[in-house]
Amino acid sequence: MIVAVFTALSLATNYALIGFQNVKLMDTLVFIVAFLFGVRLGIGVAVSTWLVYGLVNPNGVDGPIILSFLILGECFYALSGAILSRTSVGQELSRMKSTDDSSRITGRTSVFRKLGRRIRKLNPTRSLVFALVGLQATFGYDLLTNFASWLFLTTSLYQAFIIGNLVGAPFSIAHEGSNVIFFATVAPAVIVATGRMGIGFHARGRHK
Amino acid sequence: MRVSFVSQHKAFFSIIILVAAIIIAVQGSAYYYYQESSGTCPNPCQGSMVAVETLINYGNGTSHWINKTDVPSDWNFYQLTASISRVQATYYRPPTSEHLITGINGVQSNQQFFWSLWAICQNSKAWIATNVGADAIHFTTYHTLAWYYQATNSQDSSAWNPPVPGAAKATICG
Repeated sequence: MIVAVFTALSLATNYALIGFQNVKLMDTLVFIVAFLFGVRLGIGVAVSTWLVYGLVNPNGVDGPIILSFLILGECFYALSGAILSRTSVGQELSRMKSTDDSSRITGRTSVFRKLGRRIRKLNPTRSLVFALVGLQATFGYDLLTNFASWLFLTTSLYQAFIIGNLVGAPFSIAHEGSNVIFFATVAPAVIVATGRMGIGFHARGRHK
Repeated sequence: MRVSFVSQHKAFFSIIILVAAIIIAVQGSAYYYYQESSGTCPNPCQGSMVAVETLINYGNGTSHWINKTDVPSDWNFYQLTASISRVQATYYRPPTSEHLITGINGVQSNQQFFWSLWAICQNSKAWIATNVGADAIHFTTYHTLAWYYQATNSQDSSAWNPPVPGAAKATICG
């Protein structure tokens, strides 16, 4: 059920963002599932999303080899979510309350005041950790998939790795930049909300 | 509260911040290198003209060559294609700043067919399927290029047929 819901959500957001190259919410959703429900469900969402998105895509269909690299790369998000949730930092962050003590963030207009209040609710420490973990997982994904896209075009694996990652640098930057923003905002918001609703490993542990 | 949380997990924060800094440095260098190597033509070329031959192969036995001798040398292949044909393309904003060609002269890409981009290597005189988009191709490296409307039978471009039947094909320019 969780895999089906999050796969549908990933696919819907992927197709909605089709005009924005390498800007996708899917990676954040895979991370969230693994953080809340474990690595197996995270990998389930990663695999099922790519099996549909890789084969039904207006920008072109992925071959089986590229597709297997994309799925493998997507599993990095599931692994990073699961690993972070098992660390003491991850467990403390998911229990951490919103910080409303930073009175420095205030604005002159009501719009800025509202924004300041929302920023305080996100908790900068939690957002920073998720953003950095997201950046590292995305970097790993980009290294792997840029390498894979040059696998058949070069004479050695080393060449494929270097050329792929140089030529793919603009795409990687778009991907990593957008994921840092999504991991810093969407991931903590969803994890806090699910915790309040009593969903996920951490929420269950807290009620014991 | 926040400061004490960070100080309690000094090692964790030190490692993830250090790794993130390395990633930013590596990615920034790669992007800079990419921009430097593909951005503009070498000096002196501003204002000069080059001759470029372009083949458009519609994949149904119809193809035509367009020889243009007055191409500004700081143009890229997308600009040239747009000047010699009716192009439909999707534009992707920075940092990619690239066009995905979806149609040429009314022939549209679909699930079965797409427009592939080829060039002739200067040394081997063999066709190579380029792995960069038209925006990243400048006329310092290639002077004969082709658009080939071909079936999406494989992602492995080494298995594709060249745009001129029977012509030599290479997987990398030697």
